[in-house]
Amino acid sequence: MWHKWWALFRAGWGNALAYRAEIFIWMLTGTLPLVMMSVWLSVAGGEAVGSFQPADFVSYYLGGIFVRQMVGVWIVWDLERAIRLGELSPKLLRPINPIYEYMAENLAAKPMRLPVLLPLLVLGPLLYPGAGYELSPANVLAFLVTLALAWLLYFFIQYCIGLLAFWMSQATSLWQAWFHLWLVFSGYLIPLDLFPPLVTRLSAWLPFRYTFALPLEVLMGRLGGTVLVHQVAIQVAWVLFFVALYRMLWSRGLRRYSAVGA
Amino acid sequence: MYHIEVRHLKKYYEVHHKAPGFWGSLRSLVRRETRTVRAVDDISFTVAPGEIVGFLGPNGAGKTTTLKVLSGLLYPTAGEVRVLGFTPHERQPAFLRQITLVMGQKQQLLWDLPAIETLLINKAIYEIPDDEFRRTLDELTELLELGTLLTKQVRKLSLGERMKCELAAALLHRPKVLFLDEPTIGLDVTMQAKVRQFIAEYNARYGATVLLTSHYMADVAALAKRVIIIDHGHLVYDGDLETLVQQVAPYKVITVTLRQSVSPSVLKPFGHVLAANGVKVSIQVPRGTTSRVAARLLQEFAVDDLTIEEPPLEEIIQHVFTGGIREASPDVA
Repeated sequence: MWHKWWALFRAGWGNALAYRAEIFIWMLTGTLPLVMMSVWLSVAGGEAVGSFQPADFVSYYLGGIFVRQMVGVWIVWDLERAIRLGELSPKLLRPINPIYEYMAENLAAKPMRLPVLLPLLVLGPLLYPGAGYELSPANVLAFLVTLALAWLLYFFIQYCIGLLAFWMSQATSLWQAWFHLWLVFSGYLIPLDLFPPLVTRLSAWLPFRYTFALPLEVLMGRLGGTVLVHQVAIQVAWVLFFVALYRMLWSRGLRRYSAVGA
Repeated sequence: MYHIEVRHLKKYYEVHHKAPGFWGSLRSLVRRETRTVRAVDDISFTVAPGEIVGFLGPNGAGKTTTLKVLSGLLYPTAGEVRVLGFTPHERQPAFLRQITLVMGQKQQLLWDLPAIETLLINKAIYEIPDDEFRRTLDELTELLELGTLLTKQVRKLSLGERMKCELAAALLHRPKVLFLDEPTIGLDVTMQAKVRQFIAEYNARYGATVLLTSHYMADVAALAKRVIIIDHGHLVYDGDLETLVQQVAPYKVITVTLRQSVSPSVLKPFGHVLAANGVKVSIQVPRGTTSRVAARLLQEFAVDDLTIEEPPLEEIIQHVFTGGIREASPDVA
């Protein structure tokens, strides 16, 4: 299996290289957190807002850009197109599940984003006194684990929605609807701790925050001990749920697949 | 044992219908009208190992649907299908490793990368050992005259070049069963001939079973001894191509170039005059009498040139589609 992964990875990397300019431009569209950061800094006016010090907003939104880019998956359009136009057929003829190809392609493009993203994480704490991250080895490990799980969860959610193209012709519009909920309940626009308590509590049971806020809060050292363990457990549960959902949708979808024009 | 066994295969599609225009859209919101299309309707046939079979039929006859069922892309609505002993739609890796489906209209090559990258992926996915990979690649490079095409970005290749690389990618794992759907579509005559030659060569070298559809009768005539003809999802003919030709078209065409032009009426006793353009005349003659008629023509006229040809295969197939085979063929299923 490893050399199969490696081959898919290599091709994914080659593809990412072919599209490096586009990837860079796409990254520029992910700068909304900078706007949110400046809004909160001016609202705060040097005072704390809830549990957030002004410096925390800097850490949160700069870290947020990093987490978002690392977790982000953009395959729903490819997947819908492949199903609708029958481009899935050549992939189905190979003795390997196409999902690995999509995974490898997404992962292979990640390193290309790092040269832009890593300086952000360093720059924030340098420019804004008090901003920074909890970089003890244990916490970094916890961050990497929750980040990887966040990617896995986000990937499977998007894959599931993409697979709905077997039944409907506009799976991407469903994704757009999901994404708007995500913007709110993931903590991407506003830290979840600053919402009314009811919304905060609700968001803890929904899948959204486990694709974004959890690793970010870990990175900032805001979670630890039993809370962290509890959170990771919920995150794993959501991953398992969407993997199961994926398996069901995939086997039923293939039955429906009429390989249009393939 | 057969490589391909198809028994009473049926594949029906549900198709939604919508009247044109705004009101049609509104109405379809309330009540969706569906119609069942019988793409394949009770077809049975078997193919032995190493056989090349031409799969013919007009557009929409069900050829591609059948190939998709055989390669596991589609679930059959009813009937039994076995390929190499496997049930295709289960898509077991051991099955997929031994077949290939080449679709002239669809590609597996990665668009933005050189074709060799796709080949390397397939090498890993099909678990092809290094030495075998190199050997196969050398052979394919030689047979398909790939030269340096493999290292060029796919999107910069011409259609013909891409098709060659596509074939290389599809055959890298040396499949035992080849499903070829219009493998020569869009190619020029020289390229068509090369691809054809390649398929024959591959079949001879590896003893692979080939099921091939094509709009170009030349492909079929050059490759397949046996043809299966389907129309509207039904099997119309399954048998020897030559027998079919003799049955449907029990005549040949003699074309003579005369030294000086003669009136068509003079030629009438020799057979049905198809065309008479000055000195060049085509006459349709019953099969059994061809050589006698030719001899007489040579005797009675000053002839510059004389050829005896089969009627064009296109015409024969056309004839079959319009119902000419039913009484002619003894082995209709």
